[in-house]
Amino acid sequence: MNKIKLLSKLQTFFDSDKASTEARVKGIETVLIKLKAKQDKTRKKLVQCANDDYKKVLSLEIEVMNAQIEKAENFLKDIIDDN
Amino acid sequence: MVIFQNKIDFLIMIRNSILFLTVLLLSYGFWLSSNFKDIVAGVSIFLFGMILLQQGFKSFTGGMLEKVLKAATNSLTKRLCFGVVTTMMMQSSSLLSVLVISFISAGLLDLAAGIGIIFGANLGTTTGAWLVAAFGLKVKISAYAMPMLVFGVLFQIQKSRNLQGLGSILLGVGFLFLGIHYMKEGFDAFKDTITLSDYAMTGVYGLLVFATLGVVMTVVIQSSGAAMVLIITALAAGQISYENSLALAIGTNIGTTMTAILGSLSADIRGKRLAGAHLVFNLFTSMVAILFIDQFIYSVDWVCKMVDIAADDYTLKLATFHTLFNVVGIIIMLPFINLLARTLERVLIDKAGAVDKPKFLMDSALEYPDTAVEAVRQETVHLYDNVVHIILKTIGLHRRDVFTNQSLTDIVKHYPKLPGYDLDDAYLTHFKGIYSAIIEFISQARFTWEMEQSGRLYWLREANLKLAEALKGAKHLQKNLQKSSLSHNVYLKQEYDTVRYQIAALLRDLELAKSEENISELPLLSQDMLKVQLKDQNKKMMENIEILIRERKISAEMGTSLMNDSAYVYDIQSNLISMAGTVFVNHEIESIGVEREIMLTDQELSELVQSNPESE
Repeated sequence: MNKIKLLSKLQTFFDSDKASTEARVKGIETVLIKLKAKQDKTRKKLVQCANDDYKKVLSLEIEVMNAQIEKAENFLKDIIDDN
Repeated sequence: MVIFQNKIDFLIMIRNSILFLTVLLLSYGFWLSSNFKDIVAGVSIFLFGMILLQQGFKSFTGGMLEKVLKAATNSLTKRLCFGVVTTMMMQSSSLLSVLVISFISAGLLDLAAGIGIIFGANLGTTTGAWLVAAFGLKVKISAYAMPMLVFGVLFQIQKSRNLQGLGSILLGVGFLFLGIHYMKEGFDAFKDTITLSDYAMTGVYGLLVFATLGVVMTVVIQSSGAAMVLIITALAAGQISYENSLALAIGTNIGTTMTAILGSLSADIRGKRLAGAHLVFNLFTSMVAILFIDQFIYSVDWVCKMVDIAADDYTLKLATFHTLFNVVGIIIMLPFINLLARTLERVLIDKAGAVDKPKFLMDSALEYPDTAVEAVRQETVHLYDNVVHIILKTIGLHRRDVFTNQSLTDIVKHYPKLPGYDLDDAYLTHFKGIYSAIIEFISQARFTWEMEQSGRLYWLREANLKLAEALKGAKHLQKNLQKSSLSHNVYLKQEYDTVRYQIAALLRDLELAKSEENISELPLLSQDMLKVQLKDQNKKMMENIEILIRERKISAEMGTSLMNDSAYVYDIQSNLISMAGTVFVNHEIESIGVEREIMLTDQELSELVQSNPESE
């Protein structure tokens, strides 16, 4: 019984790196989902918008989110490649 | 001989002795006269009402009352009308003075706006004389006190914060009415015993003596309205001459300021300044009336003839005189409101609180790492609020306008001129003390423990440095900004108005980010948008300046100054955004670590602006 407990503790210890990587991946994926949802909302706003100045602001916002999404996806790809 | 350990012991002993002596004297006074008891109780109730009013208005900040106040007082004409109408309805300028002092103390009005209302109130108070002279009616102030106290208590015990605030206001006004009522009751003996016909005098001597008598009478009765009633009644009964009644009316104008001064005793320095402005205005108006008394008498006769008032109807002529000299006073003083406000701000300095002190940094917080971090964060928000105040003053705008839904373009247009503002003094008063205290607190805390919180404190210290940098930028910007507001070059003015607009727009965005109700889902990533907008604005501004120089709409010297100033604006804004990233964002939320990784670098943001076709 004690041997089983010890083995399971050792297993957790050796897998701690893997767990933290998984948590990181999950974190990035969550942020990506939120970012994409936010971008969709902004796109819809842009379609309905009649004010030219505000349209420019919204377009810029979409561009910023594009860059952030791209950066997040690259991070994700690097993590997966490294493992 | 008693040896005092230090000065503080001595001062405490003096203070306790004065308190003891005051209690003894008051007790003796109460035993001697019931009138005296009424007067002192009235003063105490009046001051208590002031405290309740201030509490009520503070709890209303950001709520319904603030909107009503803003709507009523955002232009000089409205302020004057607000003063006239409110005083006309309440039949007491002293009461309105007290109300305005509370507004100012709660930060809902600035001094110049308060002075505008007081000018209007002075005119409004003359309607009382018209009512008495024309209809023989007078509103009994104490009749309102009891229902107000009842409704005040009823609202106070409600759960809603707004209703509680309304309850405090009603209680405050109720106690003010009650206080004035008791003061009047106490002074009734004086009112009944003074026989004015005994002092009938003519010429300049008579004018001065009766004006002084008017002052004394108003101070004793504690109400210029009541004093005016006494004068009008005496005039109607033939106890005093028409000439002497005019002098008495002038005196009541000075005497009425005493109520405001009494009201300002429990208010902060801003309340004291307003009482000072009231005194200056009434003294000045009275001086004008005394110096040009003959011209005023002639004007009153002319006006009365025009509106069909009989030549021997002296009570109505007195009411006309009362209104006329106040109107003249307002017309003369109106252009000098800002100058008066600035002078009072310079002369009346809060010695005890001249320098803003930290609100949240307690020594006890040092013992608990999380508490210490939160204390520093809150103090940094306090410091940020002061920085916002200074920057807005520097660009000639006001918090009360910028942090509303009004169009910023309209707000900037509404204030084309930049009043002189002593930024160095503001730095010493509103920034340096708190800033130094925060840095000292962080140093002590970081020395005490080395933990995760130590890292947060490092970033909070950086945030404070950013605030200092933002102020430095504002200081650099101020000189040219002020010059441009006086320039005849419309293009230059336009560019500087854009600068003011951009700063105000960012402060408005950050105010939203600051409010806890408006928590963004991805707070750090949202800041990339603000940063990219800054870069975009900066780029457009530089291009615009080049065009203006090329088309010779502004000189190259003006253009280079503008470019430098544009860089200062960029510094101010980027420092504030950076600070907001540390202070306004909840670093406990799960996504923060990932957001920090994904946030775009300065280089990435610049590339984005350069490649964005929409920004062309």
